[in-house]
Amino acid sequence: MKELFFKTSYDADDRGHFGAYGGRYVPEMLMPALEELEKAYDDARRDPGFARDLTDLYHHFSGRPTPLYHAQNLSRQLGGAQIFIKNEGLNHTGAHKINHCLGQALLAQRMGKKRIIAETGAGQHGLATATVAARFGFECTVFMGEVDVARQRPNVFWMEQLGTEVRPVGFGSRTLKDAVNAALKDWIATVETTHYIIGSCLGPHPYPSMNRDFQAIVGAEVEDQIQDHGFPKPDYVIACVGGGSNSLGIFNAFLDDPEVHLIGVEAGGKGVEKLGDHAARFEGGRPGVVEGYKSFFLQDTDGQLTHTHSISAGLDYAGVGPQIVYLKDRGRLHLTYATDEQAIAAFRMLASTEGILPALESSHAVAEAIKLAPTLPQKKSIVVNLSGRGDKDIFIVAEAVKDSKWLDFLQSVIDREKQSDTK
Amino acid sequence: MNKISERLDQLKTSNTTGLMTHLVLGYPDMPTSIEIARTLARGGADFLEIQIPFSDPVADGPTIMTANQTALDRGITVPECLRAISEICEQVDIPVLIMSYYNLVFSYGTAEFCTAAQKSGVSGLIIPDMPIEEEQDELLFQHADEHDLINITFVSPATSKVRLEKIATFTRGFTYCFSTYGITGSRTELDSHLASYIGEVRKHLDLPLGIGFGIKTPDHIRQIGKIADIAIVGSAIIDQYNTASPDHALQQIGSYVGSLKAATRR
Ligand SMILES: Cc1ncc(COP(=O)(O)O)c(C=O)c1O
Repeated sequence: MKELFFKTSYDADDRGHFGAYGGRYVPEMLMPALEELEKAYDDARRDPGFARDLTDLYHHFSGRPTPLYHAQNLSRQLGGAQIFIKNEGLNHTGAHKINHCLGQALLAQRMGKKRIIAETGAGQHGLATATVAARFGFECTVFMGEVDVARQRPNVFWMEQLGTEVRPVGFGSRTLKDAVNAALKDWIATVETTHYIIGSCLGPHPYPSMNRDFQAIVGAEVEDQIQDHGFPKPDYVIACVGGGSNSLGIFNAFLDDPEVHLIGVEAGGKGVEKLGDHAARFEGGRPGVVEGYKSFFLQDTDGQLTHTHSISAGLDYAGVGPQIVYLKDRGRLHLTYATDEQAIAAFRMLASTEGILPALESSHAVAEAIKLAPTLPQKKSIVVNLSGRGDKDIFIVAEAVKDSKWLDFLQSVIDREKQSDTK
Repeated sequence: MNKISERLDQLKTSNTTGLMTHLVLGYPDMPTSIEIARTLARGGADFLEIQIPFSDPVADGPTIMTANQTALDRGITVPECLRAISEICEQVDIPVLIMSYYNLVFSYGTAEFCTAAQKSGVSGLIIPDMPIEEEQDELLFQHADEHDLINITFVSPATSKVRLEKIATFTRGFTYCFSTYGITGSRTELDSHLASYIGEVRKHLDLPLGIGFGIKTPDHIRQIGKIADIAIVGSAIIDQYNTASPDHALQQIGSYVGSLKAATRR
């Protein structure tokens, strides 16, 4: 397999710029911390001991390598290309987020930090952060928009069980962007003792590059695993794009092989016609500088970030990682979107044909594979990054498929609680 | 000569601490915020820092953030803000600085924004999320300069000596020193390390220094007067507005600023 850390011709320059995007647009208070982090990361990346420790954690803590599974039933039913599922949902904590959390936790330990903070949308990154905080003995606070706290209760509950304080954010749209804001503010006040584990390939330099490198193991594994299935390389690689961590993670190993087609899938929400109805930055977004980096943002004519919508909390964000924009600009990455409805349909199809429950974020990537596969010959291969498993989405899916027995169950839980209260 | 530099010269000759007061445009509503601007100037402010509201104000604490949000919920726009600023500049004599976040400037067009600011009568810009490292791509300092605007630089307790020297080369007028680690919001006590930190800054930055974040009382102003040139008051003024009865709010802000002003004589 490839070395853990490798370069591509799509890397950032020394100042963290991917072409016109990226950079480090933060208040002065954070500059020294980011310089320190950049230096620590550069050192760590060159240190074979660091790579060894991280690989060990990938294997023995998270359960890597995750399987590349040939979805034969789904492929047969669609009657086209062969679909392979890179099942990141089988990681410890249920999603790819653990990959960059382990990397950053090791780094925070190296820098002598005592406390970890993070933002979270779906709660997957928060859960992974809470997990590594427990494992490494860091004090931990996770910021989460009130809207997300309400729709991702299971993850909130687990984070708290892991000893993390979940701080609901009641400002702005009360979703992921506001959680990022709140976390940055906390960090401004606590930089001396605290490391901020950003949850995707975004934010100020070096986060976009660093998180991509910690996720790059995903694509590196696929590169080897696809050969076991008799394909020299994948013809298509599809991933959902929130900030870009799972997508860049699986893309990175293939960037310099132009024969591998790369497709990113954004959240089309209720449809991309109207701002506010979706989170597809490349359908109505434009360049901006927010939350420490220059990229594409969904914003109004003045440059105020607009509200976004997606059924999946993890894709419900107004910005996108700068390297994603750069890859698109250089014609290396094709971007498309799937709507809420298409994501739910894909969820049900994968569940019923293969016995795999994808996270709603990942269901967006599955939706694109379902569209693409029938248009390709059977000898072609499509690798879908199944960034997470669907357990966390049980409440949302139950509501979306209008399962009345689920409502009865919730009611009975409440009734039971009430009865025991009055006793 | 830029009005900020003129004012700094006057302060030096009169041996007083400069007072920079902040307000969020459109909070609680546009007409009232314009009234607040006039009240602050009348009360003795030497500089007016006028914030154009932004959806994601990353350096601001709850008080100013809520004010931003309230103004935006009312549907305030950047062109409206620029018109209001122009109105304010006609009515007050002191230098006005626009404070905002870089996305609004970038979105408007950095050069175009500087043109509009100059036309409105503005003397300077305070954009905390546009560090000197990005100047080679953004040219904010350059465009500001070309429009006789001073783009203010920043220093924090965490800033290294090497950075201080870099920042010094970009500084015109004064440098905005954050009093402590943290975001905006009034505090009861100033950071105990403030004097030694500012002393360190002085060694590398031989220019007027403003201190902001958490400044609230006349006593704070006196303490700042001993070590720096300008005291910057933000959240505390909004707190005054928020705690006053609506009929007396302007009066209360006026007398509050008066009490701060009285503490600027050295
Ligand atoms: C399972 C899963 N997939 C995808 C995402 C989207 O983020 P990214 O684009 O960084 O992979 C999230 C974010 O929370 C997630 O939890």
